[in-house]
Amino acid sequence: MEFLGHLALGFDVALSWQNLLLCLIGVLLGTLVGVLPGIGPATTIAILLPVTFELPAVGALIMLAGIYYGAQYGGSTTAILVNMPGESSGIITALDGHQMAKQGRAGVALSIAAIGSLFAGTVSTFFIAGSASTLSELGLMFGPAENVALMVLAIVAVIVMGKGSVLNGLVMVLIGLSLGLIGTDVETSKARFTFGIQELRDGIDFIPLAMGLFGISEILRTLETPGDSTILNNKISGLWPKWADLKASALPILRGTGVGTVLGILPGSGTLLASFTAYMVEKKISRTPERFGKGAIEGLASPESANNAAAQTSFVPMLTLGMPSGAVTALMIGAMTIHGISPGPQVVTQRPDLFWGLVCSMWIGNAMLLIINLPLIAIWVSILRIPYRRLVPAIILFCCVGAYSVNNSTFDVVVLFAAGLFGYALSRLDCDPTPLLLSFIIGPMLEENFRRAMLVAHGNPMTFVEKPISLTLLLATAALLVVAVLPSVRKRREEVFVE
Amino acid sequence: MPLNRDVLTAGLATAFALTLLAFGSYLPVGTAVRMGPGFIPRAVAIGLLAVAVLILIKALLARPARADDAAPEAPIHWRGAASISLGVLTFALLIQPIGLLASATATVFFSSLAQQGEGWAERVVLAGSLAAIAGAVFAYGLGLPLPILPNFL
Repeated sequence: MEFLGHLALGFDVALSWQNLLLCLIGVLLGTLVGVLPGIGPATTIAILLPVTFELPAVGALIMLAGIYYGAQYGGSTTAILVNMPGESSGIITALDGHQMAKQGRAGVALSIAAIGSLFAGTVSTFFIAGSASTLSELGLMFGPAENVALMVLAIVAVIVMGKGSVLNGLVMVLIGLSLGLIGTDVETSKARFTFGIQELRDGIDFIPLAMGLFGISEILRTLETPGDSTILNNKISGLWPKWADLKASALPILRGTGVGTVLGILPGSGTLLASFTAYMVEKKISRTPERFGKGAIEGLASPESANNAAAQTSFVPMLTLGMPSGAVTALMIGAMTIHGISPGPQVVTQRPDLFWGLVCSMWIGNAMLLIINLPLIAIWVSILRIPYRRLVPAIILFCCVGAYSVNNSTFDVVVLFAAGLFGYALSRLDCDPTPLLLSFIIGPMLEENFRRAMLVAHGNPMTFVEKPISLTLLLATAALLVVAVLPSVRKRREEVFVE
Repeated sequence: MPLNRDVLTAGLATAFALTLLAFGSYLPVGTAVRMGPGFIPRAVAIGLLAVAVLILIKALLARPARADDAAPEAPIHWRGAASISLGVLTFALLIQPIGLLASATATVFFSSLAQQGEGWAERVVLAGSLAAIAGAVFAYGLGLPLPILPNFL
């Protein structure tokens, strides 16, 4: 039982009092920001990243994982209570969750969401522990050609699984790659696209870019909706579910966990696909499908579990292969790079403390959500009562200070401003900035590996299809693209986002 | 062709492509074995132009009535964009010369103008208190090396 030893090491790291405390602070901060209407986990992480700068690498990543789970739970809280999901998968949570809240069962909905998430988190922690070593061994066999193929797959997957048209996604990827080119070329030390600006020689920093693209543009987007968000007036009572509620949600939680664990590993799938599929499964097998959308507890329990399981297993490709599967994991990779860790299969063997500590703190973060966050629900609810017009300046200030403190550079604040306006323009054009950020982060690695692969193969581009692993990955990429443009699938994709 | 989203997206892609080509023209492409720093920029630029053309073709083939059945979109929030931009740029301009407390006050004040519904006194109080909180949390709590007070004091 090798993986039990790994888990023991992980809990040893995660249960040290500093890391426990960091995880707790992360969960609380994550919920605090994530509960704000319209702010999703990726935005929350981008806004809170600077808080983790001064920490050692392990602690920083543990805190970020805590922030992620807190933000997810905060997002579910907003979705259930005021029907304003901060991320796409929260839309599914709001379907039945908000109906339950309207019927006065908000407390039950919140606690079932937390219980389901904890169960899903437990299962997927074991799943990660069991599968990580194998996957990272596979990853160690990757040369530059295989890496290129894997990165192409990751980018295409994010486009295909994301919202909006495939062509717009491609534009986002290519713009992300262009922005990633800015700076000094690694091989020749030639400055590229710096326009004579000294600060651009090291390239654009990803933190102000992410804060602007996600944080500031989200705020501008939310401002478009007139009215203040102090919609929450009813009191939350009856926090603990009745026995009948638990019994009704036990099997859906189990099914949701299964769906989420499997779908989360797929690159690019993120959590939306998992929660949507789980919701559809419940509706299909239910004897009373007409109750769905009117406050059916299964319609909340299953997607919430799937959501959390997928959130957790989506870390598998990032941790074992160094490959982000969405905005959140892309930000985590950026954070690892800041702390001098190059993400990839070698992390498992070279930094087992970091790897297993992070995996175990994910579980601890979930447990904290249930035992600490849920009783604190009154505080989170009171945040929802703060008028949005007072929150906006606070978030803006937080972003400014955060962007400045990355390098103590005013230039980064200017980048924040530019990225904010650019992100707002993109959202007006129906372009989701996730593929942009993803390709911005992996673009330099992609170029380096591509050039090295061509060098090794003496300039023969056939190298990418001659190696079996690389060929398989590229075929999978091609299959994904073909599937995405098939008319029948396209229609289904649109339905997913309309629901 | 009306100036719709597709046209604007294609225009954005073209602008990026042209920037890459114009400002990257001096970068050597290199050979297939030993690629120069100019290879990938040109490849990305060509990709951008190709996608721009595809988007325009798709827009031409789409039903012309598309604009009608789409739900009307909320107007651009110019007030928010302007005041938040002003707030962020003020911070960039002021943080080093006059420190966190004063620049945070200005930033909060300007970005609070993004929305109506608050009186001037309230905005000033909000700005002052958030600046104080920011000073306490970031400089003392997190120990970030930020200038707090104006450097001439």
